[in-house]
Parts: sequence; C-alpha cells; structure tokens
Amino acid sequence: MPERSGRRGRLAAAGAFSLALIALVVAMPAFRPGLHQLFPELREPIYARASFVTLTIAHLQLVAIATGFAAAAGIAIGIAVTREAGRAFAPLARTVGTIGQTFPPVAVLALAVPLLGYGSAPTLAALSIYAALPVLEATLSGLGAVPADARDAAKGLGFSAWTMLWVIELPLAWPLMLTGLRNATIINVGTATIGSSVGALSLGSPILEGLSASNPAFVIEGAVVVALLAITIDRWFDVLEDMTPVI
Amino acid sequence: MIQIDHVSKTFAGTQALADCTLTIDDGAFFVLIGPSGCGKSTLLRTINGLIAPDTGTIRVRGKDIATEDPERLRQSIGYVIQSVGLFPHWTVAANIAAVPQLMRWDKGKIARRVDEIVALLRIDPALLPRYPHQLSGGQRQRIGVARALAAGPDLILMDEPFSALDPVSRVELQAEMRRVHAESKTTIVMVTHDVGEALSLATTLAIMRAGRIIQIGTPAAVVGAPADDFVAQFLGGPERFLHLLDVLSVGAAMSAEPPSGAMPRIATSASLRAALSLMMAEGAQALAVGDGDGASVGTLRLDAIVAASHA
Ligand SMILES: Nc1ncnc2c1ncn2[C@@H]1O[C@H](COP(=O)(O)OP(=O)(O)O)[C@@H](O)[C@H]1O
Ligand SMILES: [Mg+2]
Repeated sequence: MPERSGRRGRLAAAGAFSLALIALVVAMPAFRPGLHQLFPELREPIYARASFVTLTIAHLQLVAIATGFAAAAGIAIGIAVTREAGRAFAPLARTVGTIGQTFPPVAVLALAVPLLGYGSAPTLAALSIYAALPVLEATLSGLGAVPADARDAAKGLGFSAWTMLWVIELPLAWPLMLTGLRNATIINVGTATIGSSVGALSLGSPILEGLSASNPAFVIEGAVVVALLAITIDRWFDVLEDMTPVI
Repeated sequence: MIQIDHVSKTFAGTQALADCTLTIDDGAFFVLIGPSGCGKSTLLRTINGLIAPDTGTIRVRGKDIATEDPERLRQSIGYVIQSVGLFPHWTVAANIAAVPQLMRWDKGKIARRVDEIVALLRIDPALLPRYPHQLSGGQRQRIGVARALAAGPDLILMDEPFSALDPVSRVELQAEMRRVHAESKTTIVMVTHDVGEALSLATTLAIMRAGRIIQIGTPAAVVGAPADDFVAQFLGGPERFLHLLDVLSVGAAMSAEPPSGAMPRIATSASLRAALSLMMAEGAQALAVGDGDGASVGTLRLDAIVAASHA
C-alpha cells in the first residue's frame, strides 16, 4: 500500500531530523577541535554563555507560546468575522491579514519594546501578532471555501449555527488552517532569533554575539541549530497534514 | 398542513413576495411553478423559517412558526435543494443520518432507520461508505432526498431538486418521489420551473408571477381553465394540453363498454399519452382496456381522450 509507506517515510524523516537535532545540540562542545581548525584565530570557537540545550529549549518555549497565542487569536478572529454578526469586519480582517505579513517583524519588535520593555515579553508579543496573520488568513480561506450549498442544506435541515461551525465548517476548513499554522510556526522559529536583540534568551543569542564580537563560529552554530529546528518542525507538520483526511 | 397568510417580503428594494395567501392540505403534492425570479424559492424558504417575512403569518401544523424554535421546526421538515449540499467530509451513511443524529436518536435506531431509507429509495448499499465526490449527480440527489426523509418528516420542501440532473436520473427520481408520496402520505412542497415535471407530479399546482400567486388548482383544472393569458402561455400555450396526456391515466378516460375483439390492448394504468401513441401506431380509433390479469374491463375511444382534458 503506497499510502502506508508514504506515511511511514514521513514519520521516519521527522524522527531522523529530531534525532539529528538532539545529537547536534547535546554534542555541540564536541565540535570544538574541528571549529578550532576552521577558525584558528578565534580564542573560543564554541558559544558558552548558555548551553545549546538551554538555548534550544528557551527558543522552543518562545515559539510554542507565541504560536499558541497566534493560533488562538487568528482562529478566533477568523471565526468571528465569518459569523453573521461579524461579517462587516471580514474585509478589514482580510486586509490586515494580507498586508500585515509584508510588515517586517523587526519593526513589530521595535514597536513592542517601548510598550513592554526588554526581555521575552516584547518578543512574545511581536511573534504572536506576526504569526497570527497567516493563521487568520488561512482560517478565512478555509472557512470561505466551505461550500455554500452544504451550509444552506445544514441550516435548512435544522443545524444550529454552533453545531454547523463545529461539525461542518471547521472540519472542512482544517486542512487549510493547518497549513497556516505550519507557516506561522516556521516563521516564528526563524523570527524568534531577533528576540535576543531585545534581551530574550534564544538561539539568536549566539548569532548576535557572534556578529558583534566578530566570531563567525557562533553565528554558524546558532544558524545551523535554528535551521535544523525549522526543518524538524516542518517534517512533523508534514506528518500531521498527512494524517488529516483530504476530501 | 400549511397556511400562508398575507405574506410579503422585500429584499433591498426588490419585492420578492407580494401578499401571498394560500393553504396546503395534509398529504398534498403541492408544486409551485413560475418564471425565474418570481419568488418561488423565497416563498418555500419562508415555510421553514430560513427567510422571515416582512409581514404576514405562516402556520405549519396549525402553529405560527414565528413562535417556534427554528432549529426544531427545520428538523421536523425535510429540505432538498438543487445543488444537493451533501456534507463532503461525511460518508453517504453519515449524510443520511444527519438529522436523526441532530435529534440525538440512539445508535441502533439510527442504523435501522438508515437501512429502511436505503431500501425505500433503492440506494445501492455499496454506496454507504463512500464520500459524496465519489457519486454521480443522480446518486448524489438520491442521497439528498434520503437525508431529507431520514427523520421521517410529515412535510418535505424541495427547491428545484431535479433541475440539474440528466434526463434519465430526473425521470427516475420523479418516479421515486411519486411513489414515496403515494406510500407515505407525506406532504410535499416542490418548486420547479419545468412545466412537464409540475403537471406530472402535482396534486395541486400554484402558479406564481412577480411575487404573487396567480392561480391554484389541480393540473387538469389549471390547464383547462388558465386564469389569464400569462398562465396559458407559461404552461405551453395551445400545446399545454399535451402535458395532461402524461398525467391522466387510461382508467380516468375509458368507458365500461365491452371492447370488440380486433382492438389493440392497453392497461388501465397506462398514460393517455401511451394510449394516443398506440392509436396512432395501429391506426385505431379505440383501444381495449385490460386489467393486470389480461381480462378486458372496458374501451378507450379517441374522443374520450379529447374530453378527458376538460374533466
Ligand atoms: N437574499 C436576497 N437578497 C436580495 N434579493 C434577493 C434575495 N433572495 C431573492 N432575491 C430576489 O428576490 C426575487 C425572487 O427570488 P427567488 O425567490 O429566488 O426567485 P425564484 O426562486 O422564483 O427564481 C428575485 O428578484 C431575487 O433576485
Ligand atoms: Mg429559485
């Protein structure tokens, strides 16, 4: 059965990337001799202010919390403006969802600092707002793609608005919504690095330190872990999307 | 079953319904017909509360629907639309079970009811685990009808249910509806713009134009005595009588006079259209009418066909 082996292949890929990520993060100090040879002029080729395990966990926390807020806000707003009472706000939400994503995340961060100070708070705020936009857009597209005749039939057969949302609209919108969540999460994995510029601990810390102290090894270490983290999460979303029935 | 009393509805300047008053009896097969945009769908959708009238009242089973819980009311009324609107992520079986599920019937009762409906509408049980996109248009609407009948409503609303189907599926489903109606005594209100379909299914016909009900009566009465030129033209002008040949049966026009041996034979239940065609084929002015066992029960003469249209 090709379907089955496809699923097994996806799971294997996600598992392999996860193991590679864990191995890289845990064994980072073991790369010292190699990096020393590569950058002989550097006195300290491995970022050591915090272990890569700590940095990765902090980074994942930022991403998880921010994506959670983003998902809740994006989905809630998407649902609200597609109900009869909120329909007037749908064009506005759609515009904000589309244009908002062309706004650079650094700018959102810069705007958040005066309000929330330094540390993880402005980072979480910026990431949440920024990642809510693709979720909102995906929710609107998903709910908008629910066939009008299915909604007419459901209403005519006596479904309440709530039941219709729960058993007809959201299940039909879910594949598109999941794609939006996937984009939001991947964007956050990358964007969370800039949180370190306002004092949040993340995998951006070695990158920024490396840039300011002219230590390319730090930059490479941070960037490689971020990239591997993004790929790993993306592979797990692949598994999740594969498990979602497509009609 | 339904009393519609002085109902009017205007959408942003367009008057869709203008002071409509009519009664639909228990067990009627009531067909609403009229040109596109005349308000048929709007009138139908006021009956299950999908559209609230601006003025006037609607009673279903004697109760003003404005005072009823809209979801309960709709669950008690079957609803079939032209585009079917099956739920694409549910199997055929789940689609059929939708309303019993909403009404929280227990699992065993739902399963038994699905089996009954599948048998009643002659649905191939192999379709039950499939998804709507795996069905043909005709199969899909058959499931749409099954879904509307599943909770056993005594009233079904149908909005151009067969207009989008191929001719073969359309005729099949019309026959199913005729049979379901005859067997169950369910009241059916159907909207169509197909005159042939209307005359062949209706026990009562209502003709609408520009938001008004122009005429109500049996198909034969409306065809025989159209209220005005518009109705006569809409039903097919001078050719409208030909539709009646489909509707009227040999039994309704024959006489008890014993046939002579040489006459071609036709069954009591055949349509006058089939009878006329047989006369033309055989060059005969009269047919021997037989019952199911082959015994002759009477004679059908050409002039009786002509007279039947005015009965
Ligand atoms: N929701 C609506 N909004 C605005 N106009 C409508 C709406 N529904 C129906 N109409 C208008 O009301 C009239 C009657 O429509 P309808 O009942 O759908 O006609 P029919 O079913 O006979 O074709 C048409 O002019 C149509 O454009
Ligand atoms: Mg219509």
